[in-house]
Order: sequence, then C-alpha cells, then structure tokens
Amino acid sequence: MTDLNIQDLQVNINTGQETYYVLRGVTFKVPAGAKLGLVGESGCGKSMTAASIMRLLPKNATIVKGQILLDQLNLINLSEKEMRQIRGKRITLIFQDAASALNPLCSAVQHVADVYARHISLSRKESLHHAYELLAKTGIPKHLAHNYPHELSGGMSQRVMIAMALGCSPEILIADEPTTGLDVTIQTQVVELIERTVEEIGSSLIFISHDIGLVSEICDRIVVMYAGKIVEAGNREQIISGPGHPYTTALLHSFRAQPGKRMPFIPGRVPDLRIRQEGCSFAPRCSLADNQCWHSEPKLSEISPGHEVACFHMDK
Amino acid sequence: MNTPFIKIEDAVKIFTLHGLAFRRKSFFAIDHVSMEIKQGQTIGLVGESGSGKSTLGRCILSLLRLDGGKIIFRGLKIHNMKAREFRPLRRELQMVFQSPKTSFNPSMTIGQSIINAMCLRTDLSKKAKLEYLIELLNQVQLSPLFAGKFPWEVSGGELQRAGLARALAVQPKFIFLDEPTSALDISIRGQIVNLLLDIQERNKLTYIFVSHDLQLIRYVADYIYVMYMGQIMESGKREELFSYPLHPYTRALLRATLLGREERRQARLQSLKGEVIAYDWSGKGCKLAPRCAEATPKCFEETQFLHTINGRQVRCWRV
Repeated sequence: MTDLNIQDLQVNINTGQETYYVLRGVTFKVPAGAKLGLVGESGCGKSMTAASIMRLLPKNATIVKGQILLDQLNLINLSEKEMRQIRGKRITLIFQDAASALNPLCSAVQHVADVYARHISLSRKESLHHAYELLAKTGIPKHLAHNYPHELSGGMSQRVMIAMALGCSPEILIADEPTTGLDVTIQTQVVELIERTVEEIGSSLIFISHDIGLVSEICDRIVVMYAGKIVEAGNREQIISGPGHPYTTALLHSFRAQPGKRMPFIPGRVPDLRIRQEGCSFAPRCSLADNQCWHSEPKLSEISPGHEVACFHMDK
Repeated sequence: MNTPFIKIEDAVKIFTLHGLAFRRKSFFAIDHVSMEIKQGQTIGLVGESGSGKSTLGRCILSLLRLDGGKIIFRGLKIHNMKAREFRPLRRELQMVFQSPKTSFNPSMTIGQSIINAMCLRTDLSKKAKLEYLIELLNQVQLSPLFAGKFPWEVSGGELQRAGLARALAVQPKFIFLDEPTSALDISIRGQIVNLLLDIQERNKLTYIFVSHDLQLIRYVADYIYVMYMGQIMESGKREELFSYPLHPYTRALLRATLLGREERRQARLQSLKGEVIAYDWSGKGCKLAPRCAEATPKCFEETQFLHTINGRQVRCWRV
C-alpha cells in the first residue's frame, strides 16, 4: 500500500511574455486506500495538481518548488523513462473529456489492450482477452468493444477511460472531473462504477470536481482549493456541516438555492493568476475581508483535529 | 388574454442518420409534442441530452422546419413561413445558446456582435445603436469597456451575459434559453439566473428555460415539461411536479440531483439503466421501458399516450 504525499508544490506557466502562478504551495497527503476530493472553481489549480502528479504538465509549465512523494520516491526527480513505468501502472488518470482523450484511430478494446501490452508485457492475444473482460466489467459489451471513440457516447467513452485506468490495478487513481458534460443519470452510473472498482482493487482515489455535492458523496476527505492554494481541508462532515473558510461556505450556499429567494452566488470573478497579490487571494470576493486580509496572507492552521483552514476570521 | 402566447400543436420533426441506403435510419427528434405557453411565463424543459429539447427550440425559432404539426405565435402560423416572412418576427423571438464561447464570432468584438444583432432595428441610427449598446451592457451588469473586447478575452460568465445582451438587442418578447448556465461554474450560476429573472420582470419576457439541472428548473420555472426521446413524458406546475412526480422518468431525474450521501446511495438502486439511444426504438411499447426500473411486460407491449389527470399530463399507464 502506498501513500502519496505532496509538499509545498509550486508550478508556474510561462507563456513567453507573462508568468502564471498556477500552483502556489499545495500540500496534502493521500494515505493508502483513502478517498480524497479536490474542489474549487475552474482555474483554481485542481487539474494542474493532477497533471503535476502524473508529470503531464504542459511544456511551458515548470515545477518551481516542492515534492511529490510516492512512498519514498520523489516523482519530480524521475526521468521521463522512469516516469513511464509509473504512469498508467501505479498512478492512473481519468481525464475530464473522455471523448477527446481517446485516440480516434484506435477502437475501445485496443486502448485497453495497449495498457496490458505496455505494462505487463502480455502477448497480443492475451491482452485482447483481458481487455474484453475488463470492458465487460465496466459495462461495455463485446459487440461495442470494437467501436471507435466517435461511435461511443460520452458515458461509454468514460467507461473506456475507466477500464484503461484500472487495467494494472493502480495504487492511486486520479479522476479529473470524470462526470462533467455527462447527463445526471449517466453521472450516477459513472460515479458508481468508479467507487465500486476502487473498492475492489483497494487503490486510493483522488476525485477532482467543482461539484461539492458530488465530492461529498464519494470522498472521506475534502480539500478546497482557491487560486492555486488550499484554503480548507477536512473530513466530509467537517466541511459539509461546519465549513470554516468563507469560500467553502459560499460554495456550499450556491448549491442550496431556495425557490422564491435570490439565487446565491459568489460575487466577482476568479483572480488573475498572473498577479501575485498581497494578502488573502479570496479577499476581493469575501464579505468578511478587513485590513488584515488585504495585507498579510493567512496560513493553514488546524481548528479541530484534521480540519485545517486558512483564514484570519476563524478565531472570531 | 385567452389565446396562448405560443401554441405548439402535435409538432413532429424527423431526423435521418446518414449512412448507406439500407442502413439509413430515421427517428422522431420531436414526437407529437403539444405545448401552450402563456405570456410572461417561464416554461422549464427538462430531459437528458438527445431528448429533443434544443431541437424544439430551433423549430420555434424557425432555424429548423417542422415535418408535421403547427407552431402558432400570437395567432400567427409560423411553422411554414418563408425565411423572408419570418424575418420581422426574429425581433420578437430570440435565443441564448448553451456555449457562449462558440456562439460568438471570434473575429468580432463583443460590441460589434451586439450591434450586428441590431440590424433588424431599422428605426435606430448608428449613434442611437451605440447608445443602446451601452445601455444593454449596463442592463446585464457589464462595464461599457466590454464592447471593445474580443470573446476570448473575457470569462465564461461575462460572455454569457454578453450573449443575453445580444438576445435583448432587438427587444424580444420571447427568449429560448438553451442551457444558459451549464457551461459555467456553479459559484457564478446564480449571477446569470438572478439577472435573467430581473430582466424578465423588467421587460415582461416569456422564457423557455432548458436545463438538465432540476434544482435550477425548480428555481426558475412556473410550468415544467419533462421530455424523453422527443416525447413529453410528464408536465405540470412546478410545485406539483416536484412534490408528486408521477412518471418514473421524472422520479429518476429528481433522484440524480439529490444532495447527501445516504440519499444518493438509496437513489442509485432505483436509477435508470443504460443511456439514450435515440434511433433505437422498436416502434411499440413505452420508449423508456428498456431503461425503466419499474418496467413490466406490459410496458414493452403497449404504446403509451399522454393522459390528463388533475390538469397534469403523464405518459405512463400505471398512474
């Protein structure tokens, strides 16, 4: 069983003219077998965290600082060749948009068979055999297994992605918004499939989503991100029933619309990642912001066992 | 005021899938749909993707031509109008598209796009159009600076507001809102929805609000139609439909949006199996039967019709 430990991860993207500070010191831990949820608006760095763990960052992005420890192994120092032994085998990723993550020239079964051929060096025949089995398990019958990505619906493509990710029984499975763009009814099916298979093979799960309701259903521990930083982390109950950070509170509020009242929302917009703002990055949108928030940056501190919040207004 | 604002009678739209001649399949994208929309109402249209929601909108706006049935707008038959005849009506019927990023011309500034939409308003001079542009941006709570920006320079929420400003540019009476918030973060969803409701009140607009998010529909709509594979499965007033959903499909949709771990776990046991395959229907029996958790042999045999109970319509024999 493997722990994943991320420490003070900082990632910059350099576009040639400007630098975007996408991750600004992210620290969290995924103990073996845990189910962790990463929540936040688009542009908060959820997907960048996943890409850093997989070492699939875009070419113009650099890891400035930090460590990603898979047990004792620091993934950041690995060569591309060594990383290839880990990616897809020990850590796997389910991408956000399955239809465009699949190779349009390969059929569903080829995708899955490739995983076996690459990592376990099975023969072509054996890997195909295993691939059919695995696809059937994820809900794609044999007569659909030869379909190409464009012939599959969104839900079906996502099932192929899941089958690929599970091929080698990974130690850590990262699901990056696996259900956005799917119908609610299909969403339930996909979530159930992920949960069931993760339990079967006993891997840890990092579930990334902007839907805090969905995350609260699947994960035991929830990490809330804002502008490349973690603003709150805690167990499900702590986050859902007693959120500490005003951002988490606002996120939860925007889910609970009451007919007849104004629909709640968070005013303003996601901060510009090019600017390294002094103080708390949520201050411009926060109703509690005062002088202190604008000038010094709050650090994550524990308010109850396992519940960390980065806000000056916690003790008030 | 007894004549409905828009009346849809038995509308049919058939799509044909391309393929070799002997494999070509046709299916009903809209299967005998009837609706009545009163002025000032918000109609909620719910269903999974592929259930014909957007197609219906395109037919109302005459972007697609019906294959049968009628659409009557204030006593005027608009379903078989020529494009030239329909053009004056475009001032009254407008649409806001699902994805703001793809519904704006990337080589035009937002201001140009909105002014372009005003070409139907021959009564305005160039200067008046510019003034009106500023007023519109003001209405959707954008600063006038946005007029000079390109679509890729602004965020999704801001662009969707610009999309609304564009629809409002011709002072319409009716707007078809095709999933206006599905491309946006939940945290700013409320901004757009509040704005839509404010503008409706101010300008006395009639909306059809399409979404697969039932919580949202519950929030905005007065009357709700639930669609599946081109058919209306159930319809009813907001509170009635949400308190006592009659059709298994409505119930399944409602369950999928529940909050809370235990509720969702329970709900999953009764959720729908499989997914929509629009062209795969044997032609008899209920269209939902292969996916329905409550289906009996009768469901596969008997074609279901809409029947009316206490002012609500349901397409299921069990009710």
